[in-house]
Amino acid sequence: MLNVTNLSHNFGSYWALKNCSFSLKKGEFLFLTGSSGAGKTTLLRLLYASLPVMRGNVNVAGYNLKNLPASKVPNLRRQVSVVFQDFKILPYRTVFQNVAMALEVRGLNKVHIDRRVRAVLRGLGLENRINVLCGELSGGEQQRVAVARSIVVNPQILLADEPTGNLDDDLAVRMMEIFKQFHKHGTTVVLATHSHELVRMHSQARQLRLEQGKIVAANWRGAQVFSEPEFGVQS
Amino acid sequence: MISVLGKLVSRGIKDIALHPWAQFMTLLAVSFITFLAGLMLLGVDNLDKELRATSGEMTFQIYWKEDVSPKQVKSAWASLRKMKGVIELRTYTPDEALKDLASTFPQGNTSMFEGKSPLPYTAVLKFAHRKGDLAGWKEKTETALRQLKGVDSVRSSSLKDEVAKTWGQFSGTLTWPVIVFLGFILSMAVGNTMKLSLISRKDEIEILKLVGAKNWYIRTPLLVGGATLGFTGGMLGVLTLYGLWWNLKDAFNFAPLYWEMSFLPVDQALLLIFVPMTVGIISSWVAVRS
Repeated sequence: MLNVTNLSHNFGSYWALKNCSFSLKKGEFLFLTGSSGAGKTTLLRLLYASLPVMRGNVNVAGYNLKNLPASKVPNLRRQVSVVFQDFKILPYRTVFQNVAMALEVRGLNKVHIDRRVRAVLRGLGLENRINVLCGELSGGEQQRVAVARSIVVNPQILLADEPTGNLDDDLAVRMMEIFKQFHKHGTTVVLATHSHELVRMHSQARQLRLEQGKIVAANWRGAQVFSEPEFGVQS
Repeated sequence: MISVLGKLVSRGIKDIALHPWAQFMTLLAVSFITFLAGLMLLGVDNLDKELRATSGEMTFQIYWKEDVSPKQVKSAWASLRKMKGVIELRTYTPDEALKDLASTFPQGNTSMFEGKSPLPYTAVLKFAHRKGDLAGWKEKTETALRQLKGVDSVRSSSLKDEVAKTWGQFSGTLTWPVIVFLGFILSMAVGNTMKLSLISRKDEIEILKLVGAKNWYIRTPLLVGGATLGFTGGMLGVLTLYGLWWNLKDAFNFAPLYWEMSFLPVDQALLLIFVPMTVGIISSWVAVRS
């Protein structure tokens, strides 16, 4: 489902990722941990083709992201949903419109969109906020709208970048429950966080720790912990 | 698919309200430019029509000698009427010529010359529009007229033809560069407004890309916005031009011009609407791509 081989990425002279290799099977749950600047966001951006793969190989949901033509990126993103720390929702659109947007771009019919969006919002406890403008929602509600938009399309892979970073502890726990429920339906989830507490609470999940762009620890055999001599050798 | 397109088109139209002032000013600019281009076309078209109507016409003035007999002159007039291509023949006896001349003076009184006019028998002969070797034909005709019995001199005038020729060269040289220049200004105005729309929709576009929207899905509303601006601006420009024409169509309809202005032909009026629309689409496309 997700295969990363010798992935490195630099911004000028700064190497944000160094020789990362790991793979995930369908339905696995991965916690990507590390302090700020460790390379978590860069790795996620590479996984949804927001950054080009320059060194190494990345295969996501059957798409080889190395030299992926721009015309194919939308197809990839229909399989891979992303939840951001800053939500990325439109404050001047209603909850329904924000969530429906992900289905509308797929050209689905109105009835189907209406049914699916209402079902997801019901599941996230937002059914009574459906026609409220997102700008009028609380932070927790906005985060749930962002999650709803990601899961409404039934993606094969769900990437989440610090999804609980802006939430208080209770809301963070509730949000994690939502991800776990969704994961139970077979979706592969990659969740980046710097919260050790969150990871400790879900110790059975895959864990991968990044420091200064390197994988320094992993709790399963599918990940390769960084070894210095190899970095920079492969392209 | 059609319903998605319909939705994108309606979104493109609705999004015009996102920056009402910028859109309004652009609309004004498009209307004004269309109006200017239309005004130019209206002038060119009407002048062209007028000059074309008279271009190629040739007028000869024939003067008879003083000692010629009236019978001889009238027989010559009869033969002139039978010439091929003649559309008008005005004849003047010496007295009639004097009377006509006097009518152009403020206090024309010719009674003192009654019966002893110093002017000769005269004829003004006008030939219809003709193409081909005009100079050769003119020389040939002039020679034939000079050989008529009793004719003293023959003068010809092809001023209108010269004016038509000069006008043709002038309009051909100037019209298109001016229209291209106006089109350029039009594209700049629409393109910049579309860039503004693009900036205001930056967040939305980013999210649309993240959820897998294809380029055409993102671009269609912006292209529709550009097309709507161009079309509406073009319509307003043409309507304003029509209003102006309606009020001025008889402004030159007096002696000696008798020039009634006509509005632009339908194809040119449609061009004035669809060219800004096309420019709107193209400049939006360029703005979206860059």
